Amino acid sequence: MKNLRSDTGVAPLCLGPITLDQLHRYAQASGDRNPIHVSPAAAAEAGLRAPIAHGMFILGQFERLIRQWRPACRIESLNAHFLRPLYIGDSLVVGARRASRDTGMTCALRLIAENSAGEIVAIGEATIVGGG
Amino acid sequence: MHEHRTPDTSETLGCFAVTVIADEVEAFCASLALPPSPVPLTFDMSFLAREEIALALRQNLPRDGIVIHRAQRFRAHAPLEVGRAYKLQLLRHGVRPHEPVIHGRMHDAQGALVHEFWATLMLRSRDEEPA
Repeated sequence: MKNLRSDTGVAPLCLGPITLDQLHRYAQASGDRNPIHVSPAAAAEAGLRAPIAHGMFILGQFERLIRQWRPACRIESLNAHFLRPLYIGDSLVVGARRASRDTGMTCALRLIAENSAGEIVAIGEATIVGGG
Repeated sequence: MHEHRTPDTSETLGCFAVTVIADEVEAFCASLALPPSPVPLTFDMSFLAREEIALALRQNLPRDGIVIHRAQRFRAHAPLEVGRAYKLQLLRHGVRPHEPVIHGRMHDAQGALVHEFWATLMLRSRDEEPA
């Protein structure tokens, strides 16, 4: 991962390439059926070259990374800024690094998501409690 | 002497009863390859797709245009529990009309604040170039 070396003890999470089928499943399960995520025609009408992943899908992968690292932790806060679209056909790499001293009780993490070109698609932060 | 204050633009969109349904949590988690427990923080956003809530949101967002999700924040004061009912209060904040922040506050049956979320949106007309 170009922009962030993961130092949490868990390898970055690599997904992809992202498929239309994957986004369909997420759209169905989350109820977010905005057609720019699942329809090439609707994406084109919105000025996008292809359907794009839901921001919440990317944030969900941050949550997945944290759960893989510390399955028993409680995630107290989680946030993200979505910086550029993640298109179908792109891969997604999600990583984390500690933003505060890990006391074993609470830990702040910086999160980052990159596409296949190593461009940052989202950045975020999380505070987790326990599970260490 | 005049004191300058940012005008309070908060507006309540409604208060809704929601229940955390096991099958929905399971399907949601499967779509993200997450374990089915605990309930993910991002699951909160799926409540916005429920008919009554989606209608309240549609009435407060322009019909013709593109909604861009710029940022998102969650705060969990306590975990959501499968099978439990909660009250979801939705508010709209924001100084600029085309950059609303949808704020959700979920309370349990005893009135304790359990979860909060903030979705920062940008509303763009269809003929604007994408950012």
